[in-house]
Amino acid sequence: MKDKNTKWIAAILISFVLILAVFGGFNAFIDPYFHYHAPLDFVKYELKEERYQNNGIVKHFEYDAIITGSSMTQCFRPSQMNELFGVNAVKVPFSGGSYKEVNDNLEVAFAYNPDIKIVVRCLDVNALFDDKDLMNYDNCPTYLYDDNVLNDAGYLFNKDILVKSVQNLHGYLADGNNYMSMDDYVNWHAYSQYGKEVVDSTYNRDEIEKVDEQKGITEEEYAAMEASIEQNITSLIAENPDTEFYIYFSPYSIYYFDFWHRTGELERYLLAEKFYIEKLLEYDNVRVFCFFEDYESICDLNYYKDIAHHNGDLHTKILQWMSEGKYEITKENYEEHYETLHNFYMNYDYDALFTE
Amino acid sequence: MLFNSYIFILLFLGLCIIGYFGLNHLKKYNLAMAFLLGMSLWFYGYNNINYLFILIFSVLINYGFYLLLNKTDQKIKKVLMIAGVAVNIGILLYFKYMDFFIGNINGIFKTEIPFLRIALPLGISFFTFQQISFIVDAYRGEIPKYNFLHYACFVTYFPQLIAGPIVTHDELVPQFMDLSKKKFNSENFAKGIYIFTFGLAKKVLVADTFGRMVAYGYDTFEYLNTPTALAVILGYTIQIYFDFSGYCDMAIGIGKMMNLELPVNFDSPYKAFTITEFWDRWHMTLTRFFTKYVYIPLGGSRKGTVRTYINVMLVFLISGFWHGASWTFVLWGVLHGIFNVITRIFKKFFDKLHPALNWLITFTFINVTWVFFRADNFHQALTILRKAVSFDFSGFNMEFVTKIESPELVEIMDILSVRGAYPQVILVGWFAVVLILMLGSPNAYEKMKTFKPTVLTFIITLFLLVWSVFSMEGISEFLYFNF
Repeated sequence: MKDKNTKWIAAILISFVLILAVFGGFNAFIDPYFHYHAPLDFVKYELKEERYQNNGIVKHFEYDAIITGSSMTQCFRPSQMNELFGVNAVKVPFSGGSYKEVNDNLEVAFAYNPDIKIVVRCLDVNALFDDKDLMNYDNCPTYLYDDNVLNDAGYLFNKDILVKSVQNLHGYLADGNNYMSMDDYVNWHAYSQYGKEVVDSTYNRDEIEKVDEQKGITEEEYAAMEASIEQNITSLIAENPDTEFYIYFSPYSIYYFDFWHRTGELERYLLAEKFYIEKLLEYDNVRVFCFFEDYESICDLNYYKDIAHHNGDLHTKILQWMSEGKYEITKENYEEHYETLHNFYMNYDYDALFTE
Repeated sequence: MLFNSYIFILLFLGLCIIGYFGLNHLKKYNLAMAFLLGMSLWFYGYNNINYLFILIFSVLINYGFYLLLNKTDQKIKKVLMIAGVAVNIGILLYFKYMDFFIGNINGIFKTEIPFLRIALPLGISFFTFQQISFIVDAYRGEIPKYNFLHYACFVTYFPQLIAGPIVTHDELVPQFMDLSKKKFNSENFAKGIYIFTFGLAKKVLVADTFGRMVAYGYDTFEYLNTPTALAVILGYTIQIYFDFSGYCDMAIGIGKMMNLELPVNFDSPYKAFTITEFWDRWHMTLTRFFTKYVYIPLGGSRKGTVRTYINVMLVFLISGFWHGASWTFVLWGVLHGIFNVITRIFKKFFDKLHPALNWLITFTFINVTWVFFRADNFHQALTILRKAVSFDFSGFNMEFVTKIESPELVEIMDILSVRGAYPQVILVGWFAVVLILMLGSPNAYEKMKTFKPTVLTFIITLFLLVWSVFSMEGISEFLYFNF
């Protein structure tokens, strides 16, 4: 070594690289987002961040069934599904996730685990008309979604991850408990308020202009829907004939129907649902469910925290109904189903909901 | 590419330095310059390749003007110079200001001209000014013979390319030609690492941390009360200084590693006692540009008092508009112009005041005007200022506290068991530490000048470097990129 400056530089560079290797290696070893491997037995992981963890869950967990969809699926309890269907299920919801985002994740799941027996998937009715390539967030950690280690620096050399890694390891070492609950994963059932008063506070009915005529669906919209169904739903169904897909439409509250009714979109959405059903029923490995005929639930605001989101009690019912085949839509009954919904929701006395 | 990105720190910078000194070591000096040019273009085109064409076009056309200016007689020279400046301003107007003009025309004449919605090419304001100064100097005959490679390297040199400092040709090109600078120099390199690390820490640890709180405050500006509004205002004052000067410190550091001196851009501006002093310390290379290429050609202070004040106002008006295509920036510039003029008119009065009072007046003025600079519109700016003086002390919204908290500090405070009793400890701590450093300690550039390779500087540098690199993911862009 020639001079003090050279020594100083060498010391900085060597120490820097060593620290990076040690901390980065520790992050990769604990791997709080399951990017490299399945959960370790002696670590207490925290399931919390959907867009960071769902990719790792479907890649590295042991499972043969998946529950997936948007925030409408967050309160499912995979343990109930395991009991009813005799499977080992994981739940991978995406808050505000589009059909494409959910499907992209499912594609990864099948790539890593071709033996999936059942997929339970919720289709958000308010997204039936969305563009097939819609992604609602552009800041997803996509570097975690591929297998390229070179772009993982943001994961390995990240203090948030480092703190999590330490906490996760410490969590187990403190009491020897590595319990990680799929049921509790982003499940807000116990933390929210429900009922008419709550839902009323989220719904500004007076601000929605009442339209007298119901709108229809244009040819272009049908074509766009078909493209979205093909790309985001049925292509995977066709590729995996041995997997059973349980697909259901999100059971929104009666307030949502009021909203569509006022904006003149109710008929459109019912027709769109019918179109989706027709397309889905072309496949033998699909079972389609719609719970809009369960008026008791739809009209009971005690299940809801806003006009769309229902609590875990209805999720429990949904899994139960699916296992019993209740409210299943078939080639035989789907047209009648449409007529029934049309009669009920087009003629419903919505104003009575709001008169006190 | 950003300085505060993994690809830059872990790959690009090392490659660049090894390649540059390696080729120079083999005495392939031109190849080394070409390599540097290639690296700079990669740096610029990394995020959006389309920007690269604008940059290359701009460099080519300006060098073309330079060649023509060298060959023609005086009369045509003036026409060429004006044409050259006009082309540069035209490009800037098109890419940066077109939608602003369209919006205003639509507003005034009730037309519906569609917006262009062009993504602003990074650093276009900087390399435009840099090349305007080059064209004007060429016209004045102040430029010796530069070959194209040196010129292209001067404009695109990546440390200063996207957010300044606004380097002039006579600062950089002679250094490119100086063979004594082509050899690795351990003292320069150590100093470069040292100030680069300070800059990175200023950006990543301070500016981005405060930025999260400020962004939250501006998003929820209707719900601010006096303490939160004051925290947001002061927070932005801190954010913009640490962001921009941190960036320039990194640029100076990278230059230093390659034995290239870049001009100082910030000299502890918030220590200024008057607004004129502030502008001698804040974004100094911009002030220098405006003085040489706008203020003095307008007559400067040689044409009487009234004309001087008008010239000052014009400079600040242009400066405001340069900072952003919006009326809030224009107002920010005008306010600075007015206060500058007032300070000049009542110089005797201000001179008599206690320095502490002078500092307070200046610092308060700077804080208030930054609100217009940061705000999306006048309504937002005025609401925030009104909330700040509303004497509404209805508690401190804890959301602000959580925005400024980072997980490692939360862990430490929890281990020390202080956060339970004092939930605001991290927020108050950040403000205290940063204000003390900002107002009471030498700045990064001064620190670099007195740098010694000791154990203490080793520990400080390593600690800040590791902490900063581990804090980079998920952080905001440089505020000044859109200027």
